Amino acid sequence: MQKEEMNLVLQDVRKAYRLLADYQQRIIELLDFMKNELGAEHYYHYRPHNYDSRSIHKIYTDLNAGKNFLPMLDFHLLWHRTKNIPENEEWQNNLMQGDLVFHILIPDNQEDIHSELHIYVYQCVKYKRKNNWFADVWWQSEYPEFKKVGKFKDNTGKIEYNIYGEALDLSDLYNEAAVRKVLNAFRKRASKALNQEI
Amino acid sequence: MLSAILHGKKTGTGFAGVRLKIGETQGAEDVLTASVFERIAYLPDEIFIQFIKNLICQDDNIKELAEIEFWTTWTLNHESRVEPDVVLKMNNGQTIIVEAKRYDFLQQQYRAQLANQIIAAYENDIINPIMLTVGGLNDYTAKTRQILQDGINVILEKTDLQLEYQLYSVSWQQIYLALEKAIQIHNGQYLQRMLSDIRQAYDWHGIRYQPYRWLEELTPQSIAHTQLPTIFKHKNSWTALQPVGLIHQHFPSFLGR
Repeated sequence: MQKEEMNLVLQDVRKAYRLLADYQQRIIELLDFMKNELGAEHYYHYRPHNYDSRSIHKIYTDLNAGKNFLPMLDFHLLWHRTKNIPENEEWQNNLMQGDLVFHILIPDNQEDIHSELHIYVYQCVKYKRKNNWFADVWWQSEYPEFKKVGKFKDNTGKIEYNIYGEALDLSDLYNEAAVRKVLNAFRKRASKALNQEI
Repeated sequence: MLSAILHGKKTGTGFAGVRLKIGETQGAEDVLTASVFERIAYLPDEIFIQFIKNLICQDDNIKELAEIEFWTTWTLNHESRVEPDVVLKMNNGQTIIVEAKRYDFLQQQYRAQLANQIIAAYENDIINPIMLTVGGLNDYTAKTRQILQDGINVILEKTDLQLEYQLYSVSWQQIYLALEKAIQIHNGQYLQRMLSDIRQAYDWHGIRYQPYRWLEELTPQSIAHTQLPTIFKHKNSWTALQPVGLIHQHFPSFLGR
């Protein structure tokens, strides 16, 4: 490779970084807006392929290290909406029927021309905490088909959830009015499916 | 004062012995109001005028700031008292009464409080004031402002007085953006330092000053290279040695006896 072409490639990389930074900033703001619209609170942020401080030494041998450092690749967010949280108490200790957890996923599927945002609503039927909500429900439950209500019951019989999800086209979520329109339509469908105002 | 608070220098600020966690700090909205409006009071005339025009209207009635008062006490009906957060008096006699609440998207403005401030303004010889609410509403649409104004009017009508006023409702974010826009026309570094102070005050209060940035503003980069050059893809073959299945019969001399 000639030096000149190498310079062009490296310039592209710098442009790509800017584009990525710009994209991520806007996704963060989009998610913040949606969270506020849904009246929910942050609970958990999960990145399936990232390095934590105990495994970071692997970057020197892992051929996918560059990819694994991309922070918003295939990441998951959980937001909860809990009606009654007594002062100084944790929300997970006070869950009751009708309390919600929203699960947001922005999948990385290279082949699909559409960029999607997946959103699932977890509707509490009953919940008695064993470990934490993430381990008790999210980790064990399976995604239902889009636009179908799935059920999750744990083996103790003390935890039960209904789950409803949809894939939203990210390119439809381009500004405030558009996001409101898409989100309100989603809430309407989810409310009907779960028989509760979402 | 603001720097002392932001850097936790409590002695002498009135915060000594108090936990400086904003959610638990009583009177925090007063610190925010003072941090912002004290600085607005120092603006050059043309920037002050532009700021108010950006914020509420393009009315030519907006003139230079002549006087600013914080937490003025006015009597109401000769018995009770009201205390607007800021009163801005302009050179032509026009007055802006500011009622500030701490959060941008939370219902905290009360129609009775605003109506009382308008009545008290008239009792203090202020005619046709501009009532400016800052923060304290769920949103800042014309509809929400109209609901608030209708509520105020219901109370004013009971007084049998013909009290004219103009109501504007803005968020703290709109205050910052109107200020930033007004300052853009001026190159003064000191104005940028002032904006920076206000941003810090907003950060401390957990108030957003920048507008949402949406996906529609992303610009394509027309990146030409979709693959990195070979130099980056080249694998170290020695890191992936594979067994080749050599046995004694194939290469007896190599393996030895």
